[in-house]
Amino acid sequence: MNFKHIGKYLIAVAIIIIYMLCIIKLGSNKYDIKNVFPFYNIDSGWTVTENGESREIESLFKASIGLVNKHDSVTITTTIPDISEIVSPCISFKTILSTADVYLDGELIYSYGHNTEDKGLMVNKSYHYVPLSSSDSGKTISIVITGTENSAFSSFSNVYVGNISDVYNKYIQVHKIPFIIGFFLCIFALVLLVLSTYLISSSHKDHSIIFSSIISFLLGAYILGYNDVIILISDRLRLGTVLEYITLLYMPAAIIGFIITDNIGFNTVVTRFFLAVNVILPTIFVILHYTNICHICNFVSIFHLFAMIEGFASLCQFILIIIRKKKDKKKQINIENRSLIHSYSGDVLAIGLMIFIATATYEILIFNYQKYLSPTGDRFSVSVLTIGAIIFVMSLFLNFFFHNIDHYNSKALFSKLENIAYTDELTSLANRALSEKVLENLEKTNANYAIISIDLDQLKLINDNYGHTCGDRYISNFARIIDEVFINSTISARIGGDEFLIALKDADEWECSSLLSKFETALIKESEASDEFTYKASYGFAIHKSKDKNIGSHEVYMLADKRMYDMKQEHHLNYDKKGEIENA
Amino acid sequence: MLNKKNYLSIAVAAFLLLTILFAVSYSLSYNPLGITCYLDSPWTVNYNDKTYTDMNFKNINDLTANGFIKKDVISLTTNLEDVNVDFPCLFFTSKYSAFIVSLTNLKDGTSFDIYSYDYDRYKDSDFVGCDYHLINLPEDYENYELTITIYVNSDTEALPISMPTLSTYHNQINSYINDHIYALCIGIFAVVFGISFLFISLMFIGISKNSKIEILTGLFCLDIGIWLLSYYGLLDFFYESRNTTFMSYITMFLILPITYLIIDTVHPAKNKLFFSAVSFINIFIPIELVMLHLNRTVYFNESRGIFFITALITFLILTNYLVNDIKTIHKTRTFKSASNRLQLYGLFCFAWCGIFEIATVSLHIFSEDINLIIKNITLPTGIAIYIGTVIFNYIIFSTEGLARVQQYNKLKEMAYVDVLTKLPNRAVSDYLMKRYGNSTSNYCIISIDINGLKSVNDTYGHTEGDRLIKDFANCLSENFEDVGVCTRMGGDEFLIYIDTIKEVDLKKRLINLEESYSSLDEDNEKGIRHSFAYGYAFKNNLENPSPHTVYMVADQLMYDMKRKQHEQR
Repeated sequence: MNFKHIGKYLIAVAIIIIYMLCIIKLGSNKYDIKNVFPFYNIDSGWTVTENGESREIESLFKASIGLVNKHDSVTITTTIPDISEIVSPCISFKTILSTADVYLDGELIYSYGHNTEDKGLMVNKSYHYVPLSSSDSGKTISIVITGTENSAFSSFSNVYVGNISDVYNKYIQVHKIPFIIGFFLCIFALVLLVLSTYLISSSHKDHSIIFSSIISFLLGAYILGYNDVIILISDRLRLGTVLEYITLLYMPAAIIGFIITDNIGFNTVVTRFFLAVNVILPTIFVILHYTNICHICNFVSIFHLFAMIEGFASLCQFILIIIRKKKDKKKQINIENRSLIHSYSGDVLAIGLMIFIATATYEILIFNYQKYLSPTGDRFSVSVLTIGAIIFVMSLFLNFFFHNIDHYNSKALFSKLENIAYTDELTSLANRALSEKVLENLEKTNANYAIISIDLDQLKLINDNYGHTCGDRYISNFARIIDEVFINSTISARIGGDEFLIALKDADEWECSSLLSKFETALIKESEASDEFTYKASYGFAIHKSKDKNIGSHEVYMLADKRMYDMKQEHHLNYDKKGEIENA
Repeated sequence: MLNKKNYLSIAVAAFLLLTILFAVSYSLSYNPLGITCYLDSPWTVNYNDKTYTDMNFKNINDLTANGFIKKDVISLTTNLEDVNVDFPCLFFTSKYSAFIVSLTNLKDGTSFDIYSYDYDRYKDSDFVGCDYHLINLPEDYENYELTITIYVNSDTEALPISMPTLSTYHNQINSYINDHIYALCIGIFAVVFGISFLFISLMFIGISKNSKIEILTGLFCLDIGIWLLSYYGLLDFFYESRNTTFMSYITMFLILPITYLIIDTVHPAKNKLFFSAVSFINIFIPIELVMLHLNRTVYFNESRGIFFITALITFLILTNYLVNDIKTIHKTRTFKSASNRLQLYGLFCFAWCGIFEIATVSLHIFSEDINLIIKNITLPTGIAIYIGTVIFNYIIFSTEGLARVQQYNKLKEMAYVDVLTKLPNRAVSDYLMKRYGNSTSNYCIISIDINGLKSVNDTYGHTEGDRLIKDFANCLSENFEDVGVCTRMGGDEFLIYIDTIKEVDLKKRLINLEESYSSLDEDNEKGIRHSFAYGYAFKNNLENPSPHTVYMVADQLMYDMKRKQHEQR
């Protein structure tokens, strides 16, 4: 890692920090809509009655009422502050999985949820706006909240007294960031889905994008549902309540689906099994919920347990894969020093996903801790999951960007590499790989072509007696001659130590023979001029005509090779006759 | 190209798309509960000190022939029906006028103001924007007379306020959101997308070749997102602001320069004079208009016409480029230009939607109701299309880039890996030879030559020869892979480069290699002998060593061994 890289990383980190700060700043209270009328967030002065016992509490926030189960009731009582200045005053609070009754000076003025409970359905999460009159200042107000499920809640929401407009705006302001991010994620999912139809049908065949969009949508819907956005701006209360559960339950399946299709390295039997489990179980839960056998909120703990286990397991696997990749990379000899070619994009996505899973796991832990163990109970607090969601989507963006860069940078090195890959280093002729490509092409197009196979004589003797350097010179000179003589060939390639292949499109026997005799002449000339070697080679050729559709290029080559071999046998007999090698 | 699996995937994607669309529109719908009372009559109107009674709200416009002018004062009064709802609330929208809402007690005639909008700005002759208003009424409102006093701040043809409605607070606010939910979604999406894109482009500013256009795109998305939200009055849903109209105009004006910069980056103009003229129009006119507004000379809503003409010119230039583009599409088929061209098409769609919207609103082609629908749909759709093309552009890049990287890796393998044995090839060996020139460690080079390869090739054919080489390569890897790099130089020659090794260990490995390789004799039916000759040298054992000399020494030792082996046979 040199300084240039460190600099770039620092800039990236700095910009990410600025980005996060902007988000936090935008979500802060500083730019909130100001209250027009007096507004009270009543936190103190409450009396809590639980199981017949009353106690005064200092702060509603830290009420420590414990876990409220089915049919348990909690009552909170206080006096209404001065609301004479307020137009359309109301008292407002939120309940989850409970019914609510409000008594003003002992008289019931508001009731919610009893009908639903009687029908056996899950009572919705709801915000209650209880209208008051300006003359109600100083009266006693009691709010009775009765749980309708086990582990319904363990804390109170804020209780606001004020103008209805101010109260509503307050709720919206508090949920500003989840509102924006939730909507963004949902629309983003839609856009990705639209684009995925093109991508799949084109040659790219990238199925992971469907799962990216599903994850994005589930995240967005979860954030909107969990943060009460749906129940604030629409009247679909049932959906708004159930949405957070359903989306949560299906999220692991979407993540696993994404991992499988994205080729991070996870496509194992175990993973597919988990995918099946993560699709079947939630579906069962949903069916149980809608048939009213068991409400979906009861499955949350099971789900959390599952999710935690899968979360940890996948994090471990991620780390293992990264370690393995690092080990492999160490073994690799990195000849290209331009590390920009290194494909960051796969890592980025994996890291983004890892961070997201980590934040989700953390969120689950915190949620359970708060609900069951802490004195404040299950209050809404900074949602780590929201940040995790943003990070995941950002990693999708970054993924795109890195691919963009990879694309440009690879182009230059690409062509250089093509040369190396397809050229024989010693002779600068084509190599075996390229020759196979060319032959394949000739076969595909069923062209007329000729193949000449040339084998150098006595290379081994030269190598053994005079060393490899001499041998290399021998080969290079031969290659030069071949290049000069067969200058118009489709390809002249060195396919082995002393083997050469030449392909000539549209050549006939006459042309091959004449070229080969030119070759012989050139060899003799070279031998005379050289004081080192005598250049001798064996060769053979074969012709392929278009009408021979069923004869492949390989067969043609084999025929040429056999003829070359026949010549070689002749030469051997000649050498044996002569008994010794001519050299300088 | 399209096989069964792909059809299935597309079907799944389409199904998901429809499901999500349905789910989103269902979950965000709102049905008003209770009564919504439209206050259309009877109104008593006091216009410039003339009183008209029993008017229908729609007919108030007919009071003047040429519309209302600045400094007019219109006072509307009506009685309120008791609709028996919780949280009674009045709702209407206003355009470029200040107003005060007051209630007059029917019994004793006392009146008090319950709501005032920008009256202070009107008094200062400042700019007053457009907004929607939710006015909470006291519980006993049916005992009062409602008076809305409008202070016209800008010449206008129609009455500056829309017909008020009375309903419960939740109905009003949720209906308003519901009507504009499409714009809200797209606006939020554009803003978040724009910010994220902008930040990420800044991160890549030195690295990516497309930095300039990426940053411009991010800015543009952010700009039109804010414009959309402020244009529909949705911004004050989230933030306290008295300047939403101002912001909507600024962002609208900013569209021109940014659009022009994008066009210019993608398709630089060839004609210099033309270029200067258009830059002047696109950059200076918006700035000038803003200056005029801030100076209180000519307000935005009055200078709108000039802006639209400028926009039209830019639109025509854009169209011109695109038409040329389509004509020459076969000639300039480079990838880079294709992808950025896509953005221009997206921009074109967006511009077209904008023009359409302006035309319908200004020219009053359709009726009021259809106008409203068009207004709510056109612009957000245009923006959605544009952002869609941006994302599409980058997705294409990413998938092409991925394919290219995979191709690259394959090529890399071809270039540096020997096909038969999968060991590093001569190119790698040459590279290592160079690299070891700078090495300070006591590296060791081993030269190995397989015996009898040529005779095997000649006697049994190349297949057997290949097998011989492969078997040797395997034995070699087993014994040396963990300490050094084994390369195949070609034919039957192998080189091993080892960074550090004790000579004792090296000798042991060579003996193991010999044993494992010659043990292959037993299984060989053809009676082929497996043997090799080797020589090695350590850097520190030589004076003035270079990797080449070390190699030469090792090679020489290898030949010596080969000769000895020949003699022994």
